[in-house]
This record gives sequence, structure tokens and C-alpha cells, in this order.
Amino acid sequence: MSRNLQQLREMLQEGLYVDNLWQLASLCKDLAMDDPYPLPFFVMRQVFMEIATSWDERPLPVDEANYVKSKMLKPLEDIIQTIEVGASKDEIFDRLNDFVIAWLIALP
Amino acid sequence: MTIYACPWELQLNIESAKRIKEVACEVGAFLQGEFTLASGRTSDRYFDGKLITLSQEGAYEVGKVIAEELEGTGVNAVGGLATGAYPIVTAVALVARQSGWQISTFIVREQRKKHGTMRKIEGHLKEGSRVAIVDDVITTGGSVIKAIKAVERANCRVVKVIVLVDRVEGGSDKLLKMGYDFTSLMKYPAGGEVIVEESAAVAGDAAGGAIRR
Repeated sequence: MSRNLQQLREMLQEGLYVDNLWQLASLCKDLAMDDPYPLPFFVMRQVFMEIATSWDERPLPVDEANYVKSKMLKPLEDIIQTIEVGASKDEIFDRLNDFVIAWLIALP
Repeated sequence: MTIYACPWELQLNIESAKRIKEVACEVGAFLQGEFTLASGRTSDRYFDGKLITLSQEGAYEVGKVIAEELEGTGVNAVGGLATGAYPIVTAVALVARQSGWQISTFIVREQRKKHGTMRKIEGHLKEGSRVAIVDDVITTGGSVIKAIKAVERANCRVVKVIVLVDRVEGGSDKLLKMGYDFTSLMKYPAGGEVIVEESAAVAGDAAGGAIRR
């Protein structure tokens, strides 16, 4: 699990763009399958897919991509950190909530 | 300008290619600005091919120029990667049909279908077919190469690759080096000037390559 979380972190560091978002979604599916508490990975997967679908096959201005990135990366990192340290479900749920709020704000 | 040894030359229907460029400009298919591409790279330009291929005249001209390009090459199937190739393949099939030429059409899915038939290729592609791969745009060549691999795994031979626009970012060179017979109707290099190709970029099995003018 920690190896996959590290992979997730590394992929996030590459940035948010369509090809990477689909791969992130795929990795989150694997993580959800492997984890007894799959909810965070399922939510991340859905959000990655949603962004990829909204960005795919259209001219995506760099500013728009950067804005979404600036809103999403920190909450994502916080979720990973919380899972990694074995935080309580409540804490993970709170971070997940922050992440979803960030996504709602970031997307037009 | 890259020069390759040339076993033959192909002539495009330049008038159609020029008209496609005009349609592209009319519908605003060539955009300039700062864009993030699917690969994560940034670009100073964007080509929205579907604005052409989903316009009535654009679809017709694209179908016509590609069908003419393919006639006599022995190609009996045309397809490409979803979703850019959908309207192109349909346009080619309709124009070919009008000329009494039978050609099979298919689409390669970006990802294998995960339910039902689990198919990677949709439509009509028989084993052993001589295939033309089409797409609206080529940048690094990733999409076209995905389609080529899927077709070759289906035991077919890719004898031609045609794209509407070459963004001149390595994809066409990659295909030529891999030995594929590649043609683009237009080039849209950095700087933003759109160039209509006056002849095809060609690479063949013979003589290890072709000429590109």
C-alpha cells in the first residue's frame, strides 16, 4: 500500500493533465481494490476522471489548468498524508471533504 | 526540410486541401494562445479538427481528399483512434461509396471496453486487411501509434497514415522513421502559420524511405 501511495504522490508531482489524470484514476482504482477502506481512493478516482473528461479533446488554456492544479494539489497531498499516517476515519473523511470542496471551487 | 530517398511520389488534391484550410479558418479550428495538451506539454497553438470534420463542407472535402489519396493503394479498410477519427472515417466511407469503391471502416478505442464485448476495435476490420489510419492531428504521434499497434495486433497491415494537420512536433518524423507511409494535408508548426502540403510526405518499405517536400 505505501509503495502505491508513493506512486500516487509521484504521479501527482508530474502535474494534472489529461493523460496523467487517466493514469491516476486507474491507480486509484487499484488502490481502492487493495484497501479495506476504499472510499478515499474511489472519490479521488471519480474526481480525476471528471477533470480528465472535462479537459479532454478541447483547447485547454494553461491558466485554467494551473488554476485547477493550484486548488487541488494541496488537498490531495493532505489526503495521502492522512492515510499514510493511519489517521482516524473521521480525519480522513474531513480531508476528503476538503478535497471535494476544492474540486467544486476549482471547476467552472 | 528533411529529405529522404524516394521510391515514388504521391500527389494530393491540392485544391481540396486548400479548401479544407479555408474551412478550418472559417470555423476557427486554428487557435493561438497558451494551451495545456493532454500529454501535459504546453503549446502556443491548438488545432480543433472536429470543427472541420463535423462541418458539412469540411467533412465532404476531407472525405474526398482522403478517398482520392487512398484509391489505387490497395487499402481496403480505414480507421483510427476515437474520437478524432470518427467523422473522418465516416466521411471517407461515404465518398468512397459514391465512387463505387468498397472500403471497410472501424474505430480503435482509446481503452479496451470493460464490459460487454470487451472490444478494442469497433466496426469492420477483417484479419489481413490493408489499412489506412486517419486522424485529425498529429503531435508526438501517440494516438496514431496506438491505433497502428491495435490494427497490427489484429493481424492487419498499415499501408498508409493520413492526418489533417501535422503540428510538426516529432510525430510525423517518428512514423517516417518507423517506415510508415505518412501524409498530412496541412502543417501547423510553431509560429502559427498554416501550410498546405503541396505533395505528400511519403515513406515506403522500398529504399528505406521517401521524399518529403
